[in-house]
Formats: sequence, structure tokens, C-alpha cells
Amino acid sequence: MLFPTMIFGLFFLVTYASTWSLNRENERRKQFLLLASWVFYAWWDWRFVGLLIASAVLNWFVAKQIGDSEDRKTRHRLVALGVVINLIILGFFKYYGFFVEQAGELLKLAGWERDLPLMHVILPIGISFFTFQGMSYVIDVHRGKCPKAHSLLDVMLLMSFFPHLVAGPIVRASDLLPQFAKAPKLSREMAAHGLLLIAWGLFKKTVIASELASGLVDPVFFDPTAYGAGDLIGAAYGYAVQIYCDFSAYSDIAIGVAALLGYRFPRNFDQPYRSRSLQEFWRRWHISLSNWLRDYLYVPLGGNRGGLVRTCINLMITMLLGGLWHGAAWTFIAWGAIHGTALIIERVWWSAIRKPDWPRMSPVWGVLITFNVVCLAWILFRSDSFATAMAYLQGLSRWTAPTLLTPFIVTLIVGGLALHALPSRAIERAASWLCRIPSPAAGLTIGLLILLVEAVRPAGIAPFIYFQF
Amino acid sequence: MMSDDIIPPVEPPAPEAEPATPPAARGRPPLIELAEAAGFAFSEPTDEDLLADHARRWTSRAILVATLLLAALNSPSIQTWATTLPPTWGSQTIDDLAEVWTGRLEQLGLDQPRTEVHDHYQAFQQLNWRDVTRALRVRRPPAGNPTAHR
Repeated sequence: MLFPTMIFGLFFLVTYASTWSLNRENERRKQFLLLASWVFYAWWDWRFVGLLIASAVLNWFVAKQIGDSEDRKTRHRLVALGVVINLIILGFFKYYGFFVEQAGELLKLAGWERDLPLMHVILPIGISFFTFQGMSYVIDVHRGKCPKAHSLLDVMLLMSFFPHLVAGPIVRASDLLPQFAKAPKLSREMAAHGLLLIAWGLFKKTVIASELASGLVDPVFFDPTAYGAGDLIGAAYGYAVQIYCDFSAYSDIAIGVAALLGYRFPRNFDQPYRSRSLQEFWRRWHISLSNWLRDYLYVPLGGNRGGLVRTCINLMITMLLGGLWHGAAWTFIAWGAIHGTALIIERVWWSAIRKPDWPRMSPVWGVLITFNVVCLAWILFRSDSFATAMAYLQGLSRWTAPTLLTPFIVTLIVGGLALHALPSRAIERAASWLCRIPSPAAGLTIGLLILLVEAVRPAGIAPFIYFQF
Repeated sequence: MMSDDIIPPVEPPAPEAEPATPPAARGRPPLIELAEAAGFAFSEPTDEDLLADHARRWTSRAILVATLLLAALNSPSIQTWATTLPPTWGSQTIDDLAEVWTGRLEQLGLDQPRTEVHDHYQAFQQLNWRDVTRALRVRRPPAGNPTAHR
């Protein structure tokens, strides 16, 4: 069930009406939300609802044992068990084919060619998100950052809650479990913010991201050799705008839907292309994943506590695994390596090379350099193989007149980038106005905004890019 | 008289304010009683609950208005969606209803705003650089004749 579809609209209306009618009975409200979340997930493939339930039961059980145990060693063993179980689930469904293929290649190189048991494992959508969520719950209970959940229902809902289920944001247990403890209270500010986020997300996904995908990015990345430098540069920038509008739209709609049901999700994007450094970029892009990788990978590896060399190694490991998290392919690992290298260069520059009395570079240069490094890395991220990425990069020296960069497409790219020049917290400010007007006027405003989007959007909508991760 | 001035007339004691009917003693709506019999528990709302209820009513009305507006002005989308459903008795019924609904609203001209926006947007999509240059040239007055564009 995709967010920008009629069926999701109907699903949401029924869920909204039913959950608020159960507002005085928090347990039943949560049970209903859990059922609704399973229906939402089963719409894609009902068989994987079982996986979702099994994963939640395992995490609940391990966290309960950790919470009940007084012995430090036992708690350590249990948290290790919880992490391993989650990694096995993720590893089997997401990386089994990739690792078997790589093992086959290695054996071939060593002269021991074998027919390895290749299976076509279907990748359950959102598995990277819900396993990371389960893992963070178990680790947080172990670290004492979050008390164990009151019931299995809370853990199941934490992992299955439909707004964030398939593409995040990765909401921590410490954020969501306290909200599940009592029936939520809706405020007009929260509702207005949610409604505006939904309309804004629909615009970004269905108008900007979809048109850029079909009109420029997909054809160019399908066969980069058929295009000249103009189209290739345009498609690289176009993809930067497309993936931002696609993924941030999903997050916006998820945050908006959750807000209308009375729950607060953390912000996931904060105008990332206005970052002046890669470090800042990762504080603004997919914030919930960056924070997850920082808290559960980078810091446990030692963070920046072991000197410059150790910090650089930790940064590279974190970014390589961050790349692998996005998909089982070398192109994603290379994407992570580019980001890791850029972060290391920044770190070395600031702590070892740059003298304090050197003049500061203009922030504009920082933004331009960071954006272009990010776009270069997106080429690897979007290409289906290294061969395609190399053909793409070689084509950048082949100048022919652009064929796909029409005024419409250029407007979308420039418009998508111009979103980063909007005042920060613009939606929040608009929401503070919207919540003060009478409800019929607010409804008309939201209805007209969605009508505008509906009038210009293409008929079919491709799934969100992050569904595959 | 004097005594009357000094000693105020004895007034009958003010009737004691009637104690407020305890919430539990008030007649509860039959639906709540029925729900309680089914095992649902209800407590009396606090001020915070009342504020939240007010906000919820505001939100529900806003969603209702937006939904009705879209159902009236965005009927082609409903029909497009209905045609994409897998063929079953239910989907065929939805498709038929959507067709009738869209037809009626077209007769009323309610599809016009959406169609107008859609047509302008499509014209913009079809633009090429030559059209843009031509449009810019038409707007720019020729050198030496600043009134020519009027």
C-alpha cells in the first residue's frame, strides 16, 4: 500500500476514525493500530507479517530477559544474542544471495569452482528498518536508556506501526514506548502540522520526484552511453533532487500520519543540500539512520576517542556498513566509501592540516563542494552496476547537446534545489497559522493544496526508492 | 425606624447551593453503558481531555471538509483509481459508481478547476527552449521603439 494512493487514503480515514473512537481505551486502541499495521503490511505480501511478528516476539523476549536479569555477564550475553538474531534475519533475507555470489566468485578465483546453493530470497520491504528498530530497543534496554516495554503489544506496535514500518524514520523505543503508555492527546498545532506535512510530501513525491524519474533519471541511468555530458550532469543533479524529494516525502507523510493519530516522530530531513560539509550533511540527511549508526556503531567502535587514525578507521567502517545497509551490492559499498573518504579528508583537514590563522573559506564554496561530492556519490548509488557507473563517468567528457533537459525538467531540478533556500521550519510556521483558523477553512486549504497536486501529478506512481532498502 | 436602620432586617437564610450531581450519578448515555457492559472502561474527562477533544473535533472537521472537497472536485482521480482495481464484483461496482459520480459532477462543471490546472501544466510540460526564447523575445521591446510591445 503506497502512501500517495486512493486505497491508502481510504485506509487512513478508517484507521483515523476507529483509533480516535477507541481513545479512552488505550490498550484496545493499540490493538487496533497493530491490526491496521498488519493489514497495511499484508497488502504487499501477507506471508511476511509472520516475520514481523516473530521478530517482535524475539526482541521483546530478549529485552525482557535483559530487564529481569541482575547478572552483568548474562545481560551482555543476552544483548549479543539479540543483536545476532536481528543480524541473522537481516542477513538471510537481504544479503544471502549477495554473499553466496561473492563466495562463488572467490572460490572460482581460487580454482575451486562449485555450484553453491543459490536461492531466490524475496526481500521483505522495510526489513532494514524494523530490524534496526528491534536491535536499538534491545541495546537501549541493556544500556538502561529505555525501560523494558510493559507488554508484548507495545513492542509489536513499536516495530510494526504502519507510518514508519516500510521506510522509516527509525523511531527509537525511548521515543515511542512512553507515547504508547497512555492514550495520546491531539493538539491543533500537531494536527495542522501533520496535515501540511502530508500535502507537502504528496507534492514532493508525486510531482517533483516522479516527473524527474520518468523524464530524466531513469532513461539516462538505463543507458548512459546514449547521452552526452549535458544530460548526464543534469541526470546526476536530477537524481539528487529526486531521491531527496522521494525519501523526505515519505518521511514527511509518515510523520504527518503519525501526528494525526496522536504520535510524534522525530524529524528525518533538514534541508540537507545546504550543508557546508559532509559532516553537516549527515546531520541533515536521513537523521534517524545517521543517529542510529553513530550511537550503535561509531561510538561503540571507539568514536573519536582513540586519536586521529582510529577516528578515521571508525568513520570508514561506519560509512562502509552504512552503504551496505542500503543494499547488497558493491555500488552501495563504494557509495559508502566515497562518503567515508570525504569525511576522513574533512577530519584530517580540520584537525591536522588547517592552521587556525588561515582565512576561512566562504560558506558558499563549502555548500557547492559538498553538494557536488554528494552528487558524485549518488551516481554510484543509482547505477545498477559498476560498469554502468563507469560508463556514466566516462560520458561526462562526451559533450553533445542535451536532449532531455527541457524547460520543465530544468524547472523541477532548480525548484527541488530551491526548496533548500526556504526558511528553516517553514512548515511549522505555516502550521502555526493554519491551526488558528476555523476547521472548515483549514479543511478547504488542505483540500485545495491536495487538489493542486492531484491535478498535476502523473497517473501512476512508482514505489518509494527506500522501499527496496 | 432607628432600630430598623441599625439592625438590618433578618433575611431568610440563603438557600444552600445544591450539591453538584456527582458525575457517576448523572445519567450516562446508553451507548457508554452498552460499551461498559462490553468491557470498555470510561473515566470522566479532565480539562486536558476536553482541550484534546476540541482539537480532535477541529481535526476531524478539517479532514472531512478536505475529503468532501476532493470527492467533488477530484472525481477523475476516483474513476482512474477504480479502473485500476482487479476485476471483481466489488471493483466493478466501485467502477460503475465512480463513473456515474464523475459524470454527474462533470455536468455540474465541477471538474473544470482540475482540468484547467491540468491543461496549463501539460502545456508547460510540452514547452521547449525555442518556445521559451520566443516568449522572452515577444516580451522584450525592440531597440529604439519602447512602445512597440504595447
